[in-house]
Amino acid sequence: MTEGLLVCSGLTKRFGRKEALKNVNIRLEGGKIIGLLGPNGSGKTTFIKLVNGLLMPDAGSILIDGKAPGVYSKSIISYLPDRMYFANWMRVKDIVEMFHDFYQDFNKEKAVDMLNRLNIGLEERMKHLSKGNKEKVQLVLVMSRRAKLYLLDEPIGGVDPAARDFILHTILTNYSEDASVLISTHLIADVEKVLDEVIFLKDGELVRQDSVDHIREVEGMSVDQLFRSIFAVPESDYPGLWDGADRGQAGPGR
Amino acid sequence: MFRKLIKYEWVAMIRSMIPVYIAMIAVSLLNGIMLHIGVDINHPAYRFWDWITTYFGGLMAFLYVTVMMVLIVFTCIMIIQRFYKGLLGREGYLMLTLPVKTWELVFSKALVSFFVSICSVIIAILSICILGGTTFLKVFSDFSEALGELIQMAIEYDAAALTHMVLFCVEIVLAGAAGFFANVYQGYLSMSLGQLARNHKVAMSVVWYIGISNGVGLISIIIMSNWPSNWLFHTDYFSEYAALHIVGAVILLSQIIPAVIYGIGTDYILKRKLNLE
Repeated sequence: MTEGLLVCSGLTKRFGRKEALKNVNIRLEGGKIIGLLGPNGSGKTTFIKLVNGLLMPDAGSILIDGKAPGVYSKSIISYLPDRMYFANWMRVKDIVEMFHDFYQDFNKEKAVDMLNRLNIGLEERMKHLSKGNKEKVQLVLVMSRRAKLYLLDEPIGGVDPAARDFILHTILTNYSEDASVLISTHLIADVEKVLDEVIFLKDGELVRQDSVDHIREVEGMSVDQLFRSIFAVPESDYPGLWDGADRGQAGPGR
Repeated sequence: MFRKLIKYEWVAMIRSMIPVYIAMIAVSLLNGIMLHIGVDINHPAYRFWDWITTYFGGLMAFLYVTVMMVLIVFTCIMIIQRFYKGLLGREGYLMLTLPVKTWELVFSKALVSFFVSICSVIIAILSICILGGTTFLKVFSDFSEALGELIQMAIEYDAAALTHMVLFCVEIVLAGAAGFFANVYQGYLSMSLGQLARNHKVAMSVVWYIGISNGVGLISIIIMSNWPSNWLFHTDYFSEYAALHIVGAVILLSQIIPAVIYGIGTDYILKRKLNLE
């Protein structure tokens, strides 16, 4: 059996009494775009933070390219968190230089070129940028690395549809071909077209890990439809909100 | 990588300190001018100048004390904030995913805190020099002269004793530096322990700091009350110079040991127990 790019075995994480992840077993190979899908609170961010070493598991193990989270794994993972992590005093050029200094796989010319095309000046301070532009700067930096594994936590959450297209385009055109991209989101319809594989998480448990083609072939439905069938909220939880007709096509989530 | 961390930490910290340093020097200059410009009692503008120096001078003196307090407090706040915000807050998502060792991240912050504190001390001394003006220069010159004479006399009297005293002073200065790191790392350890709590992380950090301080205080009292100090000064075993350096070494170790323990504790928590929200 070949060594997977990311292998998680029996991964469990508790916050007090609440189990955020329960005995999760995931194996990812290189060269794929994988959707980490699940509703809010399903454990997506917790999983990504565990892989990045920002949280410690209560049980189980994580191996990235055969090694536990540490200096090596951080050098091959390019991580886009679900929040801004730059200090506001920094200028865009400071952040570009920082990535250039610390990541050997960072392509500075590529990052500067992308920022120029986005009309984001290198001299601009982060605190003067709009929220959308801050997110773009962060994405440009993350995607300007030739990493083995990209972990993108909600990259399209909270941005307008045009920005979503830009983000997905940036991801698709910039990741290294032998690398894998793990995209965490609950906006399935927007990312479905780019995914090779999906991982469904529900209440901290792995519900399903499968290829998109296999799902379409076996289930006869799109990933979006499968997501809705798995994560459908019982009608009793929202009486009177819909008439019950055409449940597969419309619902509270739309 | 460590040098790069130092570079980024230095820029992040000193840029916040520079406005305080400028304010300190500016207020010192104004106070120095107020103190040193005198007007002849027979001058027609004397009464006006006297009124200005009485009221404006009082305000400036108050401002000087305030800015000096701000300098001290702000330096301490920056040391705490650079660790808390930089590693346990939002910026931690960047810093803790850089391909560097955890101890390097923490030590870079401690080392930069040390240098920034030295800068703050230099600025505070400089402000006193500015206040003193020419008087300070004269006192400084007289003091240097007197010190030179004293050293000359000491060399003539007992050169070996002087050498040992200088070495002892170096040991005490090193102990002071180690004490600084012990205090800073105690803060880091307290904040790291505080972030393990589910709620009220800042309050829990304070509780941990107080708890560690009391625990260490208690241990120090127990050790010191049982310390067999008489043997040190028994000349059958040691010369008086050796005893002096043993005292220096004990003082130095009493600062290095807690600093190392706090450092290992902080590194362990950030590596094994991190819970970045």
